[in-house]
Amino acid sequence: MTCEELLELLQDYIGNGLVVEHRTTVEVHIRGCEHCGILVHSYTHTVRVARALPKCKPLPAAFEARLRSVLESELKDDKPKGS
Amino acid sequence: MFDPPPEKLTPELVFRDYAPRIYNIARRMLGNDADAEDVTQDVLLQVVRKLDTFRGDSQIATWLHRVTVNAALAHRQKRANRQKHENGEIDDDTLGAGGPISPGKRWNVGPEETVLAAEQASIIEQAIEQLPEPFRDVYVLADVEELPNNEIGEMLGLSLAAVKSRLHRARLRMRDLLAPHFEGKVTS
Repeated sequence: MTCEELLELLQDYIGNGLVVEHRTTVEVHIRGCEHCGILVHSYTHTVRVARALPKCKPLPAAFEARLRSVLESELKDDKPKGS
Repeated sequence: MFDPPPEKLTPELVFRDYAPRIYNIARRMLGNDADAEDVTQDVLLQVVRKLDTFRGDSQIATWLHRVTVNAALAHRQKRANRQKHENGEIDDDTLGAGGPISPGKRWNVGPEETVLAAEQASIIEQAIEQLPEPFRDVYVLADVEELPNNEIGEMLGLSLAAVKSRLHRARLRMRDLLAPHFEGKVTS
C-alpha cells in the first residue's frame, strides 16, 4: 500500500467502514510508515475534538430575552379572541 | 426504573430545549451572531406554528436539523444576493484537490482525550469559521452534529461521494489549522 492509497482510505478507516482485509493493510502500513502514522493520529484527533465541542451552548443572554419576547408576541397574536 | 413519560411539546419546552441547538448549528454554519439570531428566530417560529403536527421529541429533532440547515442556506443566499457577490457554481477545488500531504509533527495528545478546555474549544470554533462555506457546512453537520453522511447529502443536495470528499478535505484543512495548537502540546 502506498501513502496515497492510505489517504484515500483514511476516512473509511477511522469511521470503521473498511472490510477486515483493507483495515489490516492500512494498519500494517501505518506501523511501517512514520509519515502516515502521524497523519492518522492527527486526523483522528481532529475528528475527535470536533465531536467534543458542546452541541448546545446557551443562547447569548440579550438574544434569549429578545427571542422570548418575539415568541410571547407570536403566541398572543395566535390566541383566539375572548380567551 | 421506568423512563418518565415524554413531556408534551409546548412552546416553552421548544424554546428551552431546541432554541440553543438551532442557534449553535446556525452560528457555526453562518459564522456570525446576527445571521444566526435571524435564523434561530425564523426556525423557532416555524416550529411553534407547527407544534400540533409533531408526535414527539425524536420527530421534531430530525425535522429541526433539516429546517435549520435550509434556513441557514437560504439566509446565506439572501445575504450574498444583497451584497451582490457573484456566487456562481461551488468550486469543489476551493481547498485544493490533492497534492502531497504534510504529516507535520506528532500531536501531543492522549488517544482518549476528549474533554476540551474553553480555550481549546475557542480555537476549534475559530478554525471552523475559516473553512470555506461549502466545506464548513458538511464539516459542521458531520463532525460537530454527528449526522450520517446520507442525511447530510439529502439536506445539502449533494451525492454521498461529494459529502465524503468535502468532509475529507475539510478535515485535512482543520488538521492544518489546529496543528500549531496541538503539536507539542504538553498534556497532564
